[in-house]
Amino acid sequence: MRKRVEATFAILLILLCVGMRLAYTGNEKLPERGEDLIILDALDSFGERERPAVRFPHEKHVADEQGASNCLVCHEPRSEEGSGIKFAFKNRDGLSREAVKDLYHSECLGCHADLEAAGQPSGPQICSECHVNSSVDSPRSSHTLHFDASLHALHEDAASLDCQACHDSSGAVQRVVAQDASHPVSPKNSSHALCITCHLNVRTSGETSAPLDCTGCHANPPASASSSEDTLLSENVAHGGEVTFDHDLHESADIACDVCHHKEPETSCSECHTDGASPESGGITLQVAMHTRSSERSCLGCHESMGAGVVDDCTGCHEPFTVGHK
Amino acid sequence: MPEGIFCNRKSIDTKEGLQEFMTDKGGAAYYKEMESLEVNVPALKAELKRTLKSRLKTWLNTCQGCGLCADSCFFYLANDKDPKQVPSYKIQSTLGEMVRRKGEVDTPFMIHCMDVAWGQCTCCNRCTLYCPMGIDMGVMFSYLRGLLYSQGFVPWEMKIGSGMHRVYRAQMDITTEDWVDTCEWMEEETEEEWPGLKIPIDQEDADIIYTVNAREPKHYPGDLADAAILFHLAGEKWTVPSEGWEETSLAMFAGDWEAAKMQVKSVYSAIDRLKPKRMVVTECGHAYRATVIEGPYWAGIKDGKPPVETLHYVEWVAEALRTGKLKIDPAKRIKEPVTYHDSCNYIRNAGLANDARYIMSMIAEDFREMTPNREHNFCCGGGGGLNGIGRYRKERNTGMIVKRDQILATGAKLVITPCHNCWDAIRDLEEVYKIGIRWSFLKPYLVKMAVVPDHLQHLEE
Amino acid sequence: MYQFITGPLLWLSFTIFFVGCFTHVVLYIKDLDEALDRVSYTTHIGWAIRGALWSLISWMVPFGTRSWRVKPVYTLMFYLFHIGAVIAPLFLSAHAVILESRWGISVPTLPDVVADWLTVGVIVAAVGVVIRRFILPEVRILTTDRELGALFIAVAPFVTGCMAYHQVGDSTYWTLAHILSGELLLVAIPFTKLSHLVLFFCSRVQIGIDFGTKRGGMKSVGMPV
Repeated sequence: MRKRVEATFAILLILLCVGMRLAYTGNEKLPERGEDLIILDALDSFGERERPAVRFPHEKHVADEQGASNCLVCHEPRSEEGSGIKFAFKNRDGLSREAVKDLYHSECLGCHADLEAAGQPSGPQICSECHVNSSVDSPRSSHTLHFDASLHALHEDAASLDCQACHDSSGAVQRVVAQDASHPVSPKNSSHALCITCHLNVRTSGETSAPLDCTGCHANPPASASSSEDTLLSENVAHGGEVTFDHDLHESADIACDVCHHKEPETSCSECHTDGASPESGGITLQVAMHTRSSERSCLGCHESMGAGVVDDCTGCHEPFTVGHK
Repeated sequence: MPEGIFCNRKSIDTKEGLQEFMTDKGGAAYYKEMESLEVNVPALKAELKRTLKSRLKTWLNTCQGCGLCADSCFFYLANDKDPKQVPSYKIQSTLGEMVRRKGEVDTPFMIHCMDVAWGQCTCCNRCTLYCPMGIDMGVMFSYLRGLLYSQGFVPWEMKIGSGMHRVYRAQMDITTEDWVDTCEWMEEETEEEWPGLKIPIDQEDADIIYTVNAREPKHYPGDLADAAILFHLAGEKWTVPSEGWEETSLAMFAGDWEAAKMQVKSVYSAIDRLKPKRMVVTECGHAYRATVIEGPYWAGIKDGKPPVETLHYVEWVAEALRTGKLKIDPAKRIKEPVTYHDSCNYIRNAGLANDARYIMSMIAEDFREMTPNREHNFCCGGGGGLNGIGRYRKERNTGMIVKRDQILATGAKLVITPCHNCWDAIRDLEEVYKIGIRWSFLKPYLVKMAVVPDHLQHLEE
Repeated sequence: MYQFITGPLLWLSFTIFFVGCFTHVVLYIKDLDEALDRVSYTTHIGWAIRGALWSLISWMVPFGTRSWRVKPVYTLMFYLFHIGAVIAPLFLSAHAVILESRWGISVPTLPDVVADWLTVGVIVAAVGVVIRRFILPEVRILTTDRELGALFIAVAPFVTGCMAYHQVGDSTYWTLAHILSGELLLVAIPFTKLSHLVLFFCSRVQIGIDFGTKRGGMKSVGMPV
């Protein structure tokens, strides 16, 4: 035995590996794409990553029956009551690269290990099961959310939200303002803050209809989509209902032509002020041109200075959304 | 036949025993008997159990087989890189195999071990310097020789050698009278040329006790005279002991540790008796190793050092030159290209490289180092007792090729070596390969070129 | 499975490894015999320490001895193998994560890319060493299943680790195979020629003391052993 101990060990090793190969049925591969995959890119700000970023399947971690309090396992609540949660992983702010790494490893692996120990379904604990070398650049086909007319109607009618719940006075979707100007809040986080905070509050009040899981909103096609002419929330341009402009009424209100047609009498607003900021418009989109209160030329500015009302009530001009209405 | 008349497990302890043993010329009957000499397995097992400790076990077990020792072995190089000459293979296939079989080995295996332990290794320890694991195959072969000796598997000449030490406390049949006579004779021989020169015998409290190789009184008494002249010139207060004058140890080569112990104890008791301040050993490599490096352990001296500080002859010469006791006449320095051969036993086992270089720088104008040299020098080819063993003459002559080529590469025709064994091997090398070289100890040249101090009389013949 | 093999099984492997290695060292030292070895280990402490250090340092520094210098190609392979084999696993960040999460021990780590190259170095050197074993007659004759087995056991964790890291094939399988082969390596070390992990130091210190105190170290500065 002593004579051949090395060979014995080597053969044992081969048998062990082969045996394991036979007994082993293959692991459940995480999908490379999915609406709920979140790239954990917290280390990106420290320079190049050593291992592939984790594509975190958020849906797998959100069990509906556990309710909204489940969020707090991974997320911190914001300081003011009812203001929702922070989207970054808890306790992450201000940590060094190593500390961030350690935090994720200890929280994720620790939880997975605890679950396994408790005999419950658990997540991966092997490096490559989270840090997957993926051939797909981005896990999602798009960031977009199909906030279509029916969804808009759902929010307006079923949830009884008024326009200002989501829109600012210019009509744009509200943006969350960063506390630190050097770190602007991304449109993504801004929208999430807006929607999810509201949904959370709704859920906390006992209502169950507001989705908190990713695919509740980001499903593709979205669960409630009924039309192909969807608006794209990710562009942060929420078109309101159509405005039926009564030109005669404004003429009779003794407004000079050049108040509105400030360039040439025959040029309509939308020839220069397009949806995009065209060069001719001086960077002012149609939406801005209509809603800028400080400008006498805009609808809102004029209405305000003339006391014409409807300044704070969108539906004074815009047609309300109703299901099936365009 | 368990044990033969000549070939047996008994040591030779008497004069008569020696004489009878030597009637078997060349050991023909001895080797014939060996073929049927049974192995005493229980004794071998017991000896392995008693003596195979962690160091040897580790050496045998952790050899990774990297093969770095191959090129370090002159036998491997001289035998066209025969893989069977790789040191690791040699020790693994002999001692290693014996240990793996737990001593349960047969006669042909033991004869094979003997042929490898004496015919394929001179215990030059060079491979040790090339082993990353620090495995000393020279020491292991020496250990194997001890096991083989205890079982009676030892070359004929080695058996005689250890018997000589047991009977005469010398490697040759030289009695105390023979030795004293030789000293007196040499004193007389030099009297005319060097008035006042004495070879003091058994003087107590001398500065130096001088000990020699039995070959000197037996075959080269002039060497003793040269030593006396140099001590005389240096003004040393020296003496030789009437008993305990022999430094060599064929017992060490034979693996007869009991005889080795007897031999060094005779020297140490001379030291105890005469209380010299220091000991100087003649120009012999293995003598120095046996009595100064290994001897204290055989004699059971705790700190591993001989009873008094002991210098090899090169150390004494270097010291005498440095302190000016001996002065070299620059005009008489060796003019021709000359090279120098380091003996394994004092280079790799006593670290005397620098003294030798210093001496050469003083006595030679065109000193040429061999490559490699110093601690990396190759064995002369006849070390470890190999020179004297008839059974392995062919192996020895082949092995000498490496030394031959090293010498030829220097372009020197004169080789100085302060070692009897190396001196013999280089002489034989010239005899076998006829490369036109001369060889010498240091003493003859030192005597020729030393400056005679004014207060001493020197009458040229 | 994962919890078990990185939990109890890992503990067991480490226990066998440490106890085994410790036993080797203790037995080695305990069995040293001044009379039989003919080395006085304790009477010339200063010289002994000097000799031992000289021996260790000369041989651990690449090209520190003539033996290394006369075989530069082998020496490169040797150090490529050994430096990688020691440094990569000890300072691999993934190992540090396990250490941190299991036992709360925080250790310095190497960038993954460095560890990766070291691992590739180990594998390349191992292949080179095997080729050398078969093409050089003087090494072939010393090659038995013991040497090949030891090399196989030693390299297996690096190959499986490399496969797992680069996610070639089923990376979960490779990771499990990596952990098991690593544990087998730990267990095998005390029982195989891989015990040179500790016995190298024992042997070098011993021969260093031998040469440093007895065989000339006191007379020749820089005796090469």
